[in-house]
Amino acid sequence: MNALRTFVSSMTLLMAAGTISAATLQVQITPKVSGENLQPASFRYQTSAGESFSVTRVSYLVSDFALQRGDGSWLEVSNSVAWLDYDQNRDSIRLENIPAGEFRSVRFLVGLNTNLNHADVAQFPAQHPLNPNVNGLHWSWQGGYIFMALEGLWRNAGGELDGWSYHLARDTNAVRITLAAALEITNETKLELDLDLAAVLNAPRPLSFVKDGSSTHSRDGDPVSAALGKNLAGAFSVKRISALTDVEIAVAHPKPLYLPAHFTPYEFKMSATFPMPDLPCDNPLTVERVELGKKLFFEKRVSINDAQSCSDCHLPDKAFADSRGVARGAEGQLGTRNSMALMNLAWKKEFFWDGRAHTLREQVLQPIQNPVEMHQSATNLVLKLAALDDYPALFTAAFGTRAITAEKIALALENYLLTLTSFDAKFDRVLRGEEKFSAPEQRGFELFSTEYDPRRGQYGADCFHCHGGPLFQSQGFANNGLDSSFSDPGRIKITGMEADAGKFSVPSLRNVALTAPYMHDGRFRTLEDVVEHYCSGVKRSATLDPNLAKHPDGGVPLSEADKQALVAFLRTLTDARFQAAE
Amino acid sequence: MKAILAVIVSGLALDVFADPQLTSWFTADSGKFAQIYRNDSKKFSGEPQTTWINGRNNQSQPAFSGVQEILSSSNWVYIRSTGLGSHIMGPWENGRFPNLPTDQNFIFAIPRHPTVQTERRFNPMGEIGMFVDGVRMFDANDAFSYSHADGEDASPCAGIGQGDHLWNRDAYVNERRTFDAALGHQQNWGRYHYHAEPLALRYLLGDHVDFDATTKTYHESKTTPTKHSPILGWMQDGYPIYGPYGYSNPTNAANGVRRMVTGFVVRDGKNGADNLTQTGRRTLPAWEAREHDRATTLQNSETGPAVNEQYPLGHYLEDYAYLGDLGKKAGRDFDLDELNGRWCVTPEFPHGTYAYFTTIDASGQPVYPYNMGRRYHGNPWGCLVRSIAEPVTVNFINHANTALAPTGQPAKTTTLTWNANGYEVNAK
Repeated sequence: MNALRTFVSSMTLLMAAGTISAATLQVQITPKVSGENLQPASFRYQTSAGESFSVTRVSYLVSDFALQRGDGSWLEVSNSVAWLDYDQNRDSIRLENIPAGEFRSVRFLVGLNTNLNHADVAQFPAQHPLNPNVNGLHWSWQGGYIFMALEGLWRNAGGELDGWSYHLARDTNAVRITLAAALEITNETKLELDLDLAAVLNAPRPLSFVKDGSSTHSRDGDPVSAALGKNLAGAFSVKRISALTDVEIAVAHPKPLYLPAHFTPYEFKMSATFPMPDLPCDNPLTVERVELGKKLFFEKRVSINDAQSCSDCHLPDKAFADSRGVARGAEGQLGTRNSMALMNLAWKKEFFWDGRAHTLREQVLQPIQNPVEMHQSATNLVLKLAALDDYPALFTAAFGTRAITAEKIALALENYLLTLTSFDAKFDRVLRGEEKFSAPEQRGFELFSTEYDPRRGQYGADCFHCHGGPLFQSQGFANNGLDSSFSDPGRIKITGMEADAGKFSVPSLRNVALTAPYMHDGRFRTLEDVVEHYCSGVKRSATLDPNLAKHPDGGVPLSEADKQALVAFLRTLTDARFQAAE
Repeated sequence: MKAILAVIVSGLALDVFADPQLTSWFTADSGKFAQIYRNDSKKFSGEPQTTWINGRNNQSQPAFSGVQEILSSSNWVYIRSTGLGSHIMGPWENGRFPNLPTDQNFIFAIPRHPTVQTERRFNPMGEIGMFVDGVRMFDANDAFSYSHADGEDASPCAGIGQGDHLWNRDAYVNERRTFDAALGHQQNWGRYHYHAEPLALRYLLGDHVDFDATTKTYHESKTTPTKHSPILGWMQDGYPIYGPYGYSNPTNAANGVRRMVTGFVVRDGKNGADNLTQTGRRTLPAWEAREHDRATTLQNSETGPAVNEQYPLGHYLEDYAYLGDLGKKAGRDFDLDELNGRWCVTPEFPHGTYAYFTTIDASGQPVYPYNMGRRYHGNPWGCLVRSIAEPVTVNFINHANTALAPTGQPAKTTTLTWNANGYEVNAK
């Protein structure tokens, strides 16, 4: 979905520029293992030390492409940067406006040059490959991106599953790749490259999880990142050069749906440090729609028996989370999952604990119709609202006509939910220098944003891998070791992929002190319980997140004082302004 | 604040000020937590720890190693340090030594424009500088001296205060058994420090020291030194102190390097010195008399103990004579003056500076006066400060800590509003 959107926007730009005579080179890079297609999450691979391992994440940035002419000079392709990700099926970059002709080699960086690596990330448009919300590779606050994230699981000497996580980062670790490639670029040309992951881990410098460690964060002097850089330089190869025939047709910008002749644009406000959100162009934020959506959110008649509104399980003063462990429906039925907090949804791409909805408009109608929740049919809902005095006029203001439909209800709710932004916690004020952390809060932040890697003298709590960035949520779905077998299978039910068993949406930690109880089933009552889980309660299974699996059995061993410090820091993420607003 | 951040960035990128007072600090491990071995068995099994508690010196949360910030104004350089070594510290007396090091979080202010003392003042001693790993430098004396009236060395255990200040104990000789492999230990409130050459720091800096991974000890390398020692630290007068190897010719870098030879000899009857074993400790050495502005001959009530097993030669600083007082000449017969330094060119100061040198003997062992004689060459205006009262440039900040440093940027809100072409972005 995202790949398509990116493609569409770049095509739009190309057409606007009107450079018809220029050619396009599409570079496609396919991760391989010794010539074979990568089998994700399969334990078929071995390091040179004989350790069995799987690969669950191959996510990286390539940039600064250049083509070498016959005379040896280089043609630099400006603004050539792409985020490639195996899981997201992102494997290509299109280099536009290249003069047709013959070239003898291609070069690029795995990673970014210094300027780009330290650019202000808030400037990148919503779908730009360097938007942190797109790639999930930005190291928050420390600046700079992870150039390449390789993760997976491996079996240690005791036969137990362990995690490995190699993150190549920092300016000096960007790797320049130069490949001989006899390119005759005419119109649309495709260059297919292979990236051999076996070489990345093996040649010329063999890496062993036991000997070299199962993680690197590319701190200065780290031998693993040095070895990765050396190995990467020889891991790419040219597979095929061909004329591209299957060019996708550019899709026009989606038009706003039901936009009335007169409307008031809604001012969507967020912190200037947040990445650009991908707000829907077909459902523009207007004051009229947001107002209607808000009224619907608090409307009890949305439920079958007029007993329950959305806000009964998403309590505004609890960051729209529920203080009950699992949701309780309009007719008293108990659900199986904890109602999620609602904030900063404009940056989310999947909704519900298992990610079964891709847009909010798709999401909002589900709890209304779910028999164990509000149990109201869409038809009935439309009839009920149409019979009320105030709604037809509100729909007219929001959508141009009096007609009420389930689609418009969903669009209005989507509008309102997108406006729930939280960005003024004590943490934000401390970052701006307006307030100061107490000593435990400061220590807690240090623990939060430091990895646990005793081999390199790092003894943090390693929280930021999944809860990083200004949104305190940097990963989509993860198995965080709650159980070793799963009574609620989680995301696997949606994707059907073994690798997704026991995975649930990673929640943002903003306002986390308000959103108790915790986890998809509300099993932990307090933040202290949650921290204790990551210190002593993490259970191993085949899909345990590699960033947790690399820790000792049970989790990260923190002292009691450190556990309290971590909780003290988490409490600084509470945004009183958001709590007071509705 | 924003302006300061801008300076950091440009400072890092350009490195235009190759000012050794800003660039000589050892910051490679500033982002690592300080570690200690609690006892010998932990040392040999290779199990350091990052937190420790003994009731008196409690490091219940990990602290970073050494230098955390380098700040500067036109007249001062400020070093903020935890005071903890970057090498693994300890054990001390196999865990029996009562003190453990703790995060001191102090700021050391160093004068940027050292000035030579015009009057010869005997300066109070104790902490005399900071090594480039952010660990404090203590002087050669351990703060105790012989009390003639009591007939023994004053010490807290003996309940005699600090003695007569005439026969001052040599800290290296008397406290050496409590040092760790880095030649460091800490006083009762946890301030880790070196009294003699900083052996482990020299290893980290590549200054002709080897590490034996089996015994976990450091040794002077057996090879012939071929390069000038690095700057090991800065004294409170703003002059640098180097490792033991300086240029053979003080004014010419082209004539090779050699171990700097101290001007002090034991008063054992050799090298033209008197023989305290025969005479008893009845006279002060000339350098000490000069510092006190008094005669060398002592009153009967001022004499020290006879040289014997309990008070061997070398027990007191005054057991050493300065060769310059015995007809020899600094720069011809030996290298360093009675302050343990000399005017010379160095790699960092090709046009010359006054520089102190840490001293070792021919076998590689620390030798008096270790780091500095009994007086500074310059005015010792450097000191620890509680806070910084002037605008400063940030020359270095521990990057593990930058995550915690406020950006100082004003609250900015970005507003997105729909217009016909899409969302319009406004940052205010």
